[in-house]
Amino acid sequence: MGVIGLKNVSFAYPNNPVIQNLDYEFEKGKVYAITGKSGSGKTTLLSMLSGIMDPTSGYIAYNGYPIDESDRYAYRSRYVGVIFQEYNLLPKFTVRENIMLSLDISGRKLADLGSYKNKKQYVDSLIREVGLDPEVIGNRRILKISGGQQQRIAIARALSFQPGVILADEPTGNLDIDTSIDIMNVFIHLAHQLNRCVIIVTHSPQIAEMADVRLDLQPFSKYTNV
Amino acid sequence: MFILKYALKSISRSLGRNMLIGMIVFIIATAACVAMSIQKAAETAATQSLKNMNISAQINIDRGYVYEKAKENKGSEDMNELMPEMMSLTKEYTLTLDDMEKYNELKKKDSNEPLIKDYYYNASISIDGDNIEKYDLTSSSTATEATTVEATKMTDPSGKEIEAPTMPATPQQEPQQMEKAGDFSLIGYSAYKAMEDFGEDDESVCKLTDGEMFKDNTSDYVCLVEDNLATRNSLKVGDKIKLKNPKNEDETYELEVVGIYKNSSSNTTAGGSDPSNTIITSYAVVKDIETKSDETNNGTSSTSSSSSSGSKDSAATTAATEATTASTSSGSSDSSSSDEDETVLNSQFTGTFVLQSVEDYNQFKDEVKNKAKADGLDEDLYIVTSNDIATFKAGLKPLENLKSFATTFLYLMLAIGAIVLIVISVISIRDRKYEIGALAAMGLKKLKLSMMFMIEVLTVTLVAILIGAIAGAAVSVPITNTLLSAQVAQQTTEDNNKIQTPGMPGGGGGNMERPEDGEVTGEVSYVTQVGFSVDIFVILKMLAIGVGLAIVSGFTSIAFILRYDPKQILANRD
Repeated sequence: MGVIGLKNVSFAYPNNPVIQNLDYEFEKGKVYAITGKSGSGKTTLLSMLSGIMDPTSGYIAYNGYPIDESDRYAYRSRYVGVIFQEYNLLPKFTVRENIMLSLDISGRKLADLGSYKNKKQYVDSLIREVGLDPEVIGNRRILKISGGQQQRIAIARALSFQPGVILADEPTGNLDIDTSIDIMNVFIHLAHQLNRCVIIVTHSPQIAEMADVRLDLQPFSKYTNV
Repeated sequence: MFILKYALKSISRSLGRNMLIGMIVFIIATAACVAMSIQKAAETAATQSLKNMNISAQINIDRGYVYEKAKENKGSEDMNELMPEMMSLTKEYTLTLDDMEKYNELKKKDSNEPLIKDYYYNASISIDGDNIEKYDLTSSSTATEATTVEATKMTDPSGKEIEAPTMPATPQQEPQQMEKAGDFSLIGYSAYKAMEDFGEDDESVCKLTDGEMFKDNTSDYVCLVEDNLATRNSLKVGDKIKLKNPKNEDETYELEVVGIYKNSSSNTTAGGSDPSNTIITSYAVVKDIETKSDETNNGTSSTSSSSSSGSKDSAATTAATEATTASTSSGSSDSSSSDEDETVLNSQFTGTFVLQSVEDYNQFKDEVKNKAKADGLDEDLYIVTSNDIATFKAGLKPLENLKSFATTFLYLMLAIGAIVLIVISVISIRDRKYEIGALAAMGLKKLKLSMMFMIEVLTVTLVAILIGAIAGAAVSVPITNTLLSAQVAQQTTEDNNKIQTPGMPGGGGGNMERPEDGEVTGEVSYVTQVGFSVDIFVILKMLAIGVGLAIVSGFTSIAFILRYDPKQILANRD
């Protein structure tokens, strides 16, 4: 049994069925790359996995349990770290504040996350983990940092409460190839070293090739395990 | 806890937007503070001035009631027919000294203490001079000309202007005006304390400048004359003046001037003549003159209700020896008794009750109604009036007007402020839609999200309210006094216009509708200055306004937050 699973999941926009009867189990310790043409339902699938969207039929299971309406917020804030295509960082807050806010929302206690003196030290360790210097960038507002840095901070934020699953929508979409590879290496490290399940949606064949499992999503719920 | 922390951080990170909200709330708060301080000042002025105030009150017959009763009795609306009936009814219902003494026995509701602190009375007669001329500032040379009633217009109870009624014509008489007024008003007081305008201090309207005050209710034919009148007629203390019945020139009375007083009031008397033409004597003398006039013209003692009070002073009146009377030669000796009555000098009795507080005054009003009912009369027949209360209320009128304006202004400001804040909230929430979506996507519950926005709005609003309250408190006194002086000027102009057009609807004279506490007869001293009036209640009200505005603004935000769906926000963004 995987950490997160699609149980006969279908999704349709009005008069436009996108996903039909998908079943799949995602396991810990692996990086999954979901690819496919535009309109194949990649982002919709990721939104359902993150609990932001509900399937039209079927359900999403976490550790075998379906996610229902009552625990959707807890699921989003504690178990699934989401890295959005547009990062969804709060532009007027600093780098540290963005990460700390995510940690605060999750309600996770510092003691459960490791041996850190305070939240700042922990947040700084996350910034370092994504390859940035907290002393340089920690107090900068999101508006004042580059797209690549924002992408890394979005990853650090997703990792802040140490979720079992990390979902990333086009995490390298706006980045140059070198930075994209750096980011992918971060995900691989998270999966292989920290036993997380990392699921990314990407258009880039080069990035998809770095994943452990590649799922090519085709219209009307067909997928190919490449 | 983190909600509070991030809400406060969010305020500092969106300074422009929050400054705008703060400025709006600040303006509302400042205006609200000024408006409420005006309201408070008006209330304070009313309550503090009335505290421990001795109130003089009179019981009057409701002219409106008498008018309606006369209409009912006569079955007509013609004032010429109604007026004699109204006069008759008025005489019938006029209070007497006996009635006054009954009221004097009333007790306070909550204790066995007397309700009436004191009472006194006076009687006045309109009379002509025989060896003196009236004082007239505008045309003193015509003072000796025959006096006629100047007012030819009056209003009915509905305020409609009507011609002054004429008395019914008789074969012996041409139609004449209702009452032939004399040049002078002879007022007899029961005691010195009844002479409310007299005093020694600077604020007293009347002061004795020469001679001495006569003894309380003396039956000696002595009097005080006004300084202008004394100068006009070269009168000095010890001189004797001769007065005559305006309707019977042979009926004269001689009084000795024992004092000269100065009247500083510029107001005219009720009859429209100069106050200098008021001659003051004792109640006993006026009643004696009335009795003698009745005897002279009718040959019998008067049975009118007004003279019945005189019976209680018979000892005093029988002692009167100075009057010189002459038999009537009006040519009506063989006419009907009603014609004779019209020739007799009739006094107008006025009783004054002194009450210790407004509560006592209000109880007294109720007691008067109750007594009328108990006596088988209509409870609305008598109305209690108080020049003290009327003058006091008139003095507060500019402040009350200002209070009314301030209250309207306050509501308007709050309504506009609330609308502006709602609009800003809507715009602000639309701008922050992405932020809401991002926070919701991170797992922040809508309830906490709403709290975060509410804390933001509440903090900005309360800080602005606090600063606005301080600013409002600082400017409230000068602004209030500036606005008040404008109101006082406007009120003074209105008063002057009323004086120039007496009897017009809304004016002071002629209209049978009475103000609740009576008409103001003296000069009105307007409240022109107020002190610092912002107290804890004003602050609490300000806070309530702040919370109210924050709730209006906050709940608008919350309504939008609850409506937003993060997946839609983020999907739309995609």
